[in-house]
Amino acid sequence: MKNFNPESNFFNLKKSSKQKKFLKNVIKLNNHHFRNCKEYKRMIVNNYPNFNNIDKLKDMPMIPVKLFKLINLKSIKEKDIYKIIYSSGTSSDGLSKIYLDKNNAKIQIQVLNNLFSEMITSNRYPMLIIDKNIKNNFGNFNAQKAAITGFSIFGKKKFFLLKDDNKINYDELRNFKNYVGKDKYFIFGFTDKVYEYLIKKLDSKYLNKNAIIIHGGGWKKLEKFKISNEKFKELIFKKFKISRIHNYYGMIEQTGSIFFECKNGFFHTSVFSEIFIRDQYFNDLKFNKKGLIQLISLVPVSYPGHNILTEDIGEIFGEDTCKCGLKGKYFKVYGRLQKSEIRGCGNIND
Amino acid sequence: MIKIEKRLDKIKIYVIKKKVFDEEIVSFLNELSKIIVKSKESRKNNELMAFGFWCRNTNLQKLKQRYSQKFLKNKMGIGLLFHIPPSNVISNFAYSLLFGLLSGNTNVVRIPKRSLEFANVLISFINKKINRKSNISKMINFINYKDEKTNTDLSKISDGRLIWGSDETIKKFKNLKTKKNCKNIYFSDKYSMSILNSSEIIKLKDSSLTVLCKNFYNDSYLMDQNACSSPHIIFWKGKKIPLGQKIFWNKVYKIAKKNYKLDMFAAVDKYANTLRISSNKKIKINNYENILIRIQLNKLSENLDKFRGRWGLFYEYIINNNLNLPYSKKYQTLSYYGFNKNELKNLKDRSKNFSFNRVVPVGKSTEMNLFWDGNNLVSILSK
Repeated sequence: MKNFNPESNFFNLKKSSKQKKFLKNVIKLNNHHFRNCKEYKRMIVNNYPNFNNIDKLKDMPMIPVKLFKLINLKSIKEKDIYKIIYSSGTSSDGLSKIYLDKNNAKIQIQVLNNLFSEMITSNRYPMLIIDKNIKNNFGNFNAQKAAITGFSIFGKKKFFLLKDDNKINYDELRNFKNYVGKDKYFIFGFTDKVYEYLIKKLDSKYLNKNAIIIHGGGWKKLEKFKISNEKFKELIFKKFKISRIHNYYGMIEQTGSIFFECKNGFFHTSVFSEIFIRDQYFNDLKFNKKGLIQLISLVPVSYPGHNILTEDIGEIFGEDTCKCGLKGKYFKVYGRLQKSEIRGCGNIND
Repeated sequence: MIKIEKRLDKIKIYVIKKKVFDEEIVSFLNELSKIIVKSKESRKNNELMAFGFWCRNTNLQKLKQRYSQKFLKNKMGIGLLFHIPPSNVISNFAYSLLFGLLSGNTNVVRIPKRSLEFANVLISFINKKINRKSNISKMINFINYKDEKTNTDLSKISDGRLIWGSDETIKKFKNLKTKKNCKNIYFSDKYSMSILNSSEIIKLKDSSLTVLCKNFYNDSYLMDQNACSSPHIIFWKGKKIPLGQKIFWNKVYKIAKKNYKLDMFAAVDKYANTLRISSNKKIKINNYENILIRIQLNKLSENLDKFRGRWGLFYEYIINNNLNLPYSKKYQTLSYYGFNKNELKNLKDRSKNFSFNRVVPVGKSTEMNLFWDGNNLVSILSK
C-alpha cells in the first residue's frame, strides 16, 4: 500500500484541488484496512451496511481512539510487526497499542520530515531535548519515546537536559552551551516539561535567544497551571528573549501527519490530513463551533487509524483563508473531553 | 433545625425506637408529602415529585397493609441505623431514610456529594413540617464526609447498616467492625431486563404508545441506564416482532431525542462500545443518530450480565419459545409490557433461571419498595 505523493507543496493545495485526491486515497485506505484487518471489517459490515456506497469524506467510518485500548487493531501479519507503540497515558482503560511495520514507520518519518521542513526549517541544528535520554529508559516503546525519537532526527547533535532522575544535567547543559555558542539551535520538549524546566527552573544564562522551540503534547498536564498558549510564549520571551516558538498537535494514532501552529496561532491541515468537528450526535459542525475533533490521515497503513475520533475538543475557523497564507483548514485545540458524571447505582467514592 | 453536618462529633445521637409504621411518623410523612407535591421545586424535579408521592398517606397505608396486625402491634425499631446510599442515584438516600423511619429507627444518613442539592431542598421541607420538640427530629440525622474514620466510627455504634452497592463498597464495609448483632443489608450490583409483547404494541394508538415509551425512557435513559433496575436487554415475544420493534424504538428515539441530554463523553463511549462489541461477530446494529443504539443478539451468552448498555444502548433478543436465561445471581428487575397475570405466571413457570426479585410493568422500574432485592426491609430492621 503506497501513500500518494503530492506534486506540490504540502500546504499550497487549495480545497478544490486537494479534495478529490484526498478522498480517493482515503477510499483506498478504507478498502485496504477492510481487506487486511478482520476486526475493522466486522465493525464496518455491522455498523456501516452501505460502506461501499459512501462517497463523502465526512460520512466515512471513524474509529474512536479509545478502541485502540480495547482491542488489537492491525492490518499487517504478525511476522511483519516492526514496532508496537503504546500510549504513554496511565488511564485505567489500559494502553493504546499501535502496530507498525517497517513501511509505515518509514512513511511516518518521511511525512514528519516534509512537514517540519516546510513549517519550521529544512536546516539541521543542534537540539536540546527537554527530557531524559530515551536510550537509558527501558520498558515499552511509548508515545513519548516515539515523539522524541521522531523529532530528534532534526537535531544535528542531540543534548538531553535531564538526568535519569529528572534533575537537570548541568554538565550536559554546559557542553551544549559551549557547542552552540551564539548559533541557532532547536529546543524540543513536551509542553509540560518545557514549562516545568525552561520557564520554572532553568537559569536564563544557559540559553541564547536564537532558539527555535518546538513543543507539543503534555498539555493535559499543563491544564492545571492554567497557562494559555499566548502566556506560555510570553513567559519564554520574557525570560530568554526567544521568539520562535512552535506548538504542535499530534497523537500516536496518527504519528507523522502532525499539525504545526502557523504564525497566527492556528494548526493547519496539510495534503496528508483532514479534520472535522463533531457534536455529540456526530453531526459535522463545519466552522466556528466547538466540538469533538475527528482526524483523517493518509499515513496509517499498518493499522486502521487513518480516520479517528479523538477525545479532544477543538474548533475550525475556516479553510484556505488563514491570513498566514498557508492553505488547508485551520483550527484550535481547547483541551481534553471531560469525563461525564455517572448517574446510577454503585460507587460511593466521592 | 435539621441540617447536613460535616463531622460526626457535631451530631448528638439519641437513639430512639418507635413502633413500625408509628402513627406520628406516618402523619409527619404525609404532611411532608403535601408540602413537597405542592412546591414549585417538585414541579421542576421528577425525582422530588416521585418522593413526595411515595410519602402520601394513601401509599403508606397500602404498604402497611402488607404486614399483619400482630406484626404492626409488636414490632419496634432495632435502634440506630447507618445509611450508605450510592453516590449516583440522587434520591436514594431519601428512600433509605424512609425505610429507617417506617421501621421505627433512628437514622444517620450519609449524603453523597451529588445528592447534596436534592438533600438541601428536602431538608428545608422537613424543617418546615417537623415538630422540634418531637422525638422524630432526633431520628433524622444527615452527614456528608470524606474520611474513612467516620465510616469506622459509625459502623461501631450502629444496630443496623444499609449499604447500597457497589460490590466494592460492600466489600469495604464488610471489613469494618460492628456490634455483634448489627443487621447488615447489602444491595449488590444488579442486572435488569425488559420483556415486551409485540402483539400488543402493534395495536397501540399513538397516545398509548407514547405513554409506554415515556415510561421505558424513564426506566432507562433517566439514570443513564446505570440504576440497578435499568434494563440492558429487551426480550421480545408475540406476533410481528420486527414491526413491533420498529414502532416501539422509533418512538423511544423520538422521546430521547427531545429529552435526553447526551453528553460528548457518553456519545464517544457508546460508539466505541458498539464498535468493540461488533468487532468479533456478525450482529445486527441499529444506530439512531447515536441517541439510541440497538444491538440484536442471536443467542444469549453465558455471561449475559456483562452485556450492559449505557446512555441509551440496548441489547435485544427474540424469544421463540420460553425465556431461558443463563444462570446469574445478579438478576433484579424484569419490567414488562403487554402481558397479563396469567401470561406472566406461565412465562415464569416455563423459564429457565427466572430469578428476578421484582417483576413490574415498564415505567415502574425505579419505583422504590419496602421489599428490595428480596429483603423485607421493615421486618429485618425491627424486632
